[in-house]
Amino acid sequence: MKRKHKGRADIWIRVIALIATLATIGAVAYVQFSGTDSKLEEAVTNLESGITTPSDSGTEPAPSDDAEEASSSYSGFFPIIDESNPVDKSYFEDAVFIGDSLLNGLKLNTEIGTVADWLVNDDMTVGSAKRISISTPSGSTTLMDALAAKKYAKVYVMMGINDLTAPAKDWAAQYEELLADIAKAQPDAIMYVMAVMPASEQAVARRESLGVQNIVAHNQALFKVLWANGYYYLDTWGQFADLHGYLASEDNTDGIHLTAAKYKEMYDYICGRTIEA
Amino acid sequence: MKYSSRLLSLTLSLLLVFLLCACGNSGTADSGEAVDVHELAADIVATGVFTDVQTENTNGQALSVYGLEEDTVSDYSVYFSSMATPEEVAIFRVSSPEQASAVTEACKARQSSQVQSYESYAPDQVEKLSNAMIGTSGDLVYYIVSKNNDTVKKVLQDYGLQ
Repeated sequence: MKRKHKGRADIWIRVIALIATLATIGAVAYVQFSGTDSKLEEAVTNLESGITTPSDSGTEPAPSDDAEEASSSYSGFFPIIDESNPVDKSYFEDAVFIGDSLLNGLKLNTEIGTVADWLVNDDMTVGSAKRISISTPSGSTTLMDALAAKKYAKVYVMMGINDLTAPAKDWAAQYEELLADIAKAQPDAIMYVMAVMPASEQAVARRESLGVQNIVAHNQALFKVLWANGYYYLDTWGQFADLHGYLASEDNTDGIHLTAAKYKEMYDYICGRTIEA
Repeated sequence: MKYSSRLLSLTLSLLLVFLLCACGNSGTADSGEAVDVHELAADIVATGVFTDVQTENTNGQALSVYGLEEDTVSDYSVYFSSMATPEEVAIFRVSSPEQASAVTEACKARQSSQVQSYESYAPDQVEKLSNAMIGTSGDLVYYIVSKNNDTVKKVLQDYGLQ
């Protein structure tokens, strides 16, 4: 009798152990699959609140094969660069800057103006970037012709302030196509994309599309694109927006463009967030 | 009598010398009176007829923007805008009429390029560009885009320039 009872106890113990093991595996799998999306939502929410450094910034833990297949867009890469020792202007000797009048201002007001190459047009938008005429020291050209003619180790892109009327998702999709073309032309380059800058309260009163929520929505959509494609995000919005999401009046000349001192601050900001080529 | 005519001759000679010196300061390329281009540009900016001109450009970008080689000018002072407007102050010192001509053409090209840019970007600024002051005076060539040319002209006149 006693032997029979002991046999049954063994069976129950084994069944309970098996259930516990299966439960543990299930719980781990759930966390593994859902954790990455939570990370994205946390990062996007942090953008909205102006906080750009996630709580555990740095390289994401390498996911398992199953997780990687399920969330391949976000595996192993995080687009935010932690602040580090600033590089000097020599870092930009093999860099190209692509963008609108804000980059033109950066070019004319900082020492990288004479070090890097500049493919800028005050009027540049995500939609017009490839067809707009660009003035360079060697004459007029187009973006793709210029990128076909020379290889760079770093590409910096900033545009958006001129064209925020399209829905954020559509704008980001168009931006993604443009960035893909740029990346294809410069396959060895590190891609840095600078966030759409804030505008002053007065500028917003003149142009509704410059509103805080609209710019934040566009930057959120842009962030997802960058994360999915392995491009780095430079949070120039977070750097220059005040507590209400506006560009302070003492920092700008017309609600959008920066003072010389603030262009220098932008330069210092990007110097402090670089990846070794 | 002889003494008085000699005195008269001497006086007339001295008068002629003084007159020649006065003509020498009218602004030719080999003028002996050198205007400090940095002080001149700073004084023009200080008039307050600019809404958007920033600090003096010191990163060497200015010559590149104008498409000028370093040996075309012996000194220069340039103030760019924040890009909100095409306002600009550029003063160049040259050493020959050929250089003056080259720099003047560069200033006209700058104006033309800016008009093209602002026609679509900020059309309300094009009139300011059309009224840009481009000129030479002595060994200086200038390109100035401001809200009020009369105020700028007064500064140039204070420096003995046209």
